[in-house]
Order: sequence, then structure tokens, then C-alpha cells
Amino acid sequence: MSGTVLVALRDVSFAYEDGPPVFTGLDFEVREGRTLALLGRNGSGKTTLMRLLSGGLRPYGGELLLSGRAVRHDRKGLTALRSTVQLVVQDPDDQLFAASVGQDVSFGPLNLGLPDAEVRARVAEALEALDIAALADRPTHLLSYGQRKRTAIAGAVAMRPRVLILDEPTAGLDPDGQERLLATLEGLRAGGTTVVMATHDVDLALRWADDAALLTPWGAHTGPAAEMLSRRDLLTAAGLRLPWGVAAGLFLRARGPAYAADAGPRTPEELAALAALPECGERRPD
Amino acid sequence: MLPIDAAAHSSRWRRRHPVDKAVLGLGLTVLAISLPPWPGAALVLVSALVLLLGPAGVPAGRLWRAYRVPLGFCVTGALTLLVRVGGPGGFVSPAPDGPLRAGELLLRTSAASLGVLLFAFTTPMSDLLPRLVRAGVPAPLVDVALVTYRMSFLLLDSVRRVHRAQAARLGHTTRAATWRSLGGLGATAFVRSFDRAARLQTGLAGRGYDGALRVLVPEARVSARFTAASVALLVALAALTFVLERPLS
Repeated sequence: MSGTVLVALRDVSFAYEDGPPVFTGLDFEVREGRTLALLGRNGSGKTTLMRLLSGGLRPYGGELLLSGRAVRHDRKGLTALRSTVQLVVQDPDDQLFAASVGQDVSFGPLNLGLPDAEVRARVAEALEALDIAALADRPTHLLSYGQRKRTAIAGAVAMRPRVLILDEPTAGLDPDGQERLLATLEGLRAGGTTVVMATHDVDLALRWADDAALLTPWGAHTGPAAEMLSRRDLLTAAGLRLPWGVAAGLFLRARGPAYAADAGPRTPEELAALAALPECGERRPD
Repeated sequence: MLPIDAAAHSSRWRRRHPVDKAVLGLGLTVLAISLPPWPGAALVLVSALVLLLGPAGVPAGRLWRAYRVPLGFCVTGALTLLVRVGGPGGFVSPAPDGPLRAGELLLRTSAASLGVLLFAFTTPMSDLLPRLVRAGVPAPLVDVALVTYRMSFLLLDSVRRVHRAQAARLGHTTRAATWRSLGGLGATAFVRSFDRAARLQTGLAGRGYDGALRVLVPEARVSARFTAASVALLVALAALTFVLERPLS
């Protein structure tokens, strides 16, 4: 995996009060410029991991590193962390508090102590990036679920973080909403933001992410998405299944040597290209 | 959405500075209370109605849906003046001058309510609340109002969902079942509110929440022309009242 390590957890242990350990000796890295999908079964610790990375939870062992330096969980340390790392929680209603969309998005930048003009510019930029500029004056309680999700993300984007962590951002969205959100995330990635997304959708992870981290009972396993999502052992341990693209790739590879080098396909287009190869063509019925 | 909230967001005066609308709306309220009810309060009532339905662009249906609640209180208050309890006429008897006093009270209160509603119907909470801090209202108080405003919609939504789920499982078929369901609904709403508040605090902490809910104040300027026109209208109404003043009876 390429890219500088921006945020990392080193030898982290964590447990909720009166609960069993969620992580023991966990090492985890988020690399700059990469998209990372975080996958695991319900209760595997995805949300906990994201909250540890964003400073929302304090590990009882190990440390959180930001650009190689240990983060102190005091006001100054967390302010520095949160101007670099932003977490968007799964339920947008856990984040939206203001009476209008624009005001809610302005909350974070104002907490950074920025002047009003700069805040207005950031709000406009974030709303534009999330394609909700027309909703700036709308009351938050009048938004659809998808619009609330976008507003919550805009609230984080307005902080101009280098790392944006999203907890199941596509959950509850219709297919069109999912595609629009992925296009938005692609735009943010193109603008230099590192994006981490927790999801149960292995097909989405294979298509979207550069890297994938699978949370199993034995820890987090991170690597290139195509490689990690082809590992039946890890996927089974993480309570997941093979992505359809990988399953199709395995099926096609079994039919001819031309597929041997590929781990995919990751998209329908790649599948179509593979299917057009002669080895497959000879076997296709008319 | 509450009718008053919907009206405020769709009003033609929505972009006006709240001070503009406060001068007019609250000025009408003061006139309704302080001028003789006839013809003062009647003039205020008609003026407020014309302003709401005309320049402010509030749809009549929405106005009625929101106005009927305070109007109900006005009517209830006025009805009590029609009767007298005790005295020579018996335990309950018609009050002397009851209709006159009830009419005056109804005129005053309904006109004053419309004055307040003129402000409320044209000023969304998102325009008003952040400005209250600048107007000298303590910030924690405004923060509580802001969160309460937002949370009340979430709570209503949550209550509706739980009620629907209970109804789908026959939770409201008998009186006993209804009481049991309502008890469960209340308890659930209470617990959910606490849970929601805790999660909201976590969500806000990620964006640097330090105890103060800072948000941008919408850009708008006080219009000298609008304010002057409002004051002129108020003065004209007062003058007209004194010119036309006649006893109601």
C-alpha cells in the first residue's frame, strides 16, 4: 500500500465500561490519498474503531498517532486532530442540530475560530461539493433522509479535513442516492481528501475502495481491496461473503488462463471486457 | 411540519431582517392592547390580516390552521365574561354588560394574537435564534431553545413511529390496550430522548463543540424604509382610532 500514514493506532486496547475488550493490541493505519473500506460483521468494532481514529473514544492502552505524533486527548490535541480527521456518524440526526442546513454546516468552521467571511466561503464550498447548495436555507427537519446524510457530510467537509471517515454512509439510501454519494466521495478524493468508509456491502467496497480492512476476531487485516476481498478465510471470519465480481472472476478464471492474472472484475465494465476474451467467447452458447 | 413553521419559510418577507418584522408585528400587538378595542383593536385585526395575506404572502389556509389555536383560547376567555357566578340571578346567570366586555376582550386578544403571529409567520426560527444572542439573550438559553426546536421534531417523529408500530400490533384496539401502549410510548420517548441527546453531543464533539452552539447568522439588513412605513402605519392606526372612537354599545 502506498501513501504516507496520516492517522494510525498503535497497539491500541479498548473496552467499553463493564464490557469485554473490543480491541487488544490493535495496529491500524490510514494512508494519505487512498480510499479505505472498513468491513466486518455487526458488533465487530467498526464504529468503535472509527471513533478511536477521530478521537471520540480514548484507548486505555496504546496510542493514536497523527502524522506520526501521538495525539493527546486534551482540548488542544483533539482540536488539532479534528481539524484533520472528521467522522460522519451513521445516523445524520445524531449530528444535525441547527434550524437550517447552512447554519448546521457553519458550526464546525465557526468552532475553528474562523472569521465569518471564511466560514461563509467554506459553507458554500461544502454545500456545492455535496450538491445541496439549493438547500442552504431549508430547515433540517424538512429534509429527506438522503438530504440529511448529505448535510451531515457537508458539516464535516466544511472543516476541510484531510481524512474523512464515514460510518455506513450508503445505508438507507436508494440506488440513485448511493451512486450520487459515491460520485461526491470521488470528487472529494480527487480534491485530495482521504476517505474511509465503513460498510457491509462487499460489492461496493470492491468497486470503490483502494484498500480494504477486514475486522475479524483476530484483529484488523488491511491490504489492497481486490486482494483482501478475495480471501475467503478472512471474509468468512468477518461474517462477509465473496463480492459478486470476485466470484465471477473465479468462475471465469476457471475457464481459461487469460483470467489468471486478474483478481477482479471490480465493475460490470471489467466483467464485460473479461467475458469478451476468446477463452470465454469460445464457450459461450449462441 | 407545523403550519406556522411552514408559513415562515414560505413567506415573502422571510428575507427581511427580524427587526423590520418585529417593529410591525409587535407594534400592532401593542396597539391592540393599548388602544380602545373599538375601533382600535378591530382596525389592528383587519390591518394584520391584510398584511399577512397580502404583502407577506401567507396562504389563507395555513394562516387559519395556525391562528385557530390562539383564537380558541381568545374565545374561551371571552365566553367566561358572558356569565356571572353567584349573585341575585342564581348560581350562574348572564353577566351585566357581559356581551360587551366579551366582545372587547375577543377583539383585543384576537388582534394582539394576529400581531404576534405576523412576526412568527414571517420569521423562521433559524433567522431569529442566532440573533437573540446579539440582542443580549444569554447564549446558554438560546442554545437550549435551538436544540429543543430541533429535538422536538425528532421526538414527534419518533413518537409517530412508535405509535404506528403499536397500532400495527393491535396496541390501540381496546381502552386498556391504548393506556398500556401510551404508557410504553411515553417511557420509550423518554429513554430515546436521553439516548438521542447523548448521541447528538458525541456528534457535535467531532466538530469541535465546546459548550457553545455557534452558527452563522443569515445575512440581512434592517430596512429604514420598511421600518419607517411600519411606524407610519402604526401611527395612522392610532390616529384613526381616536378619530373614529365610538362606544361599542
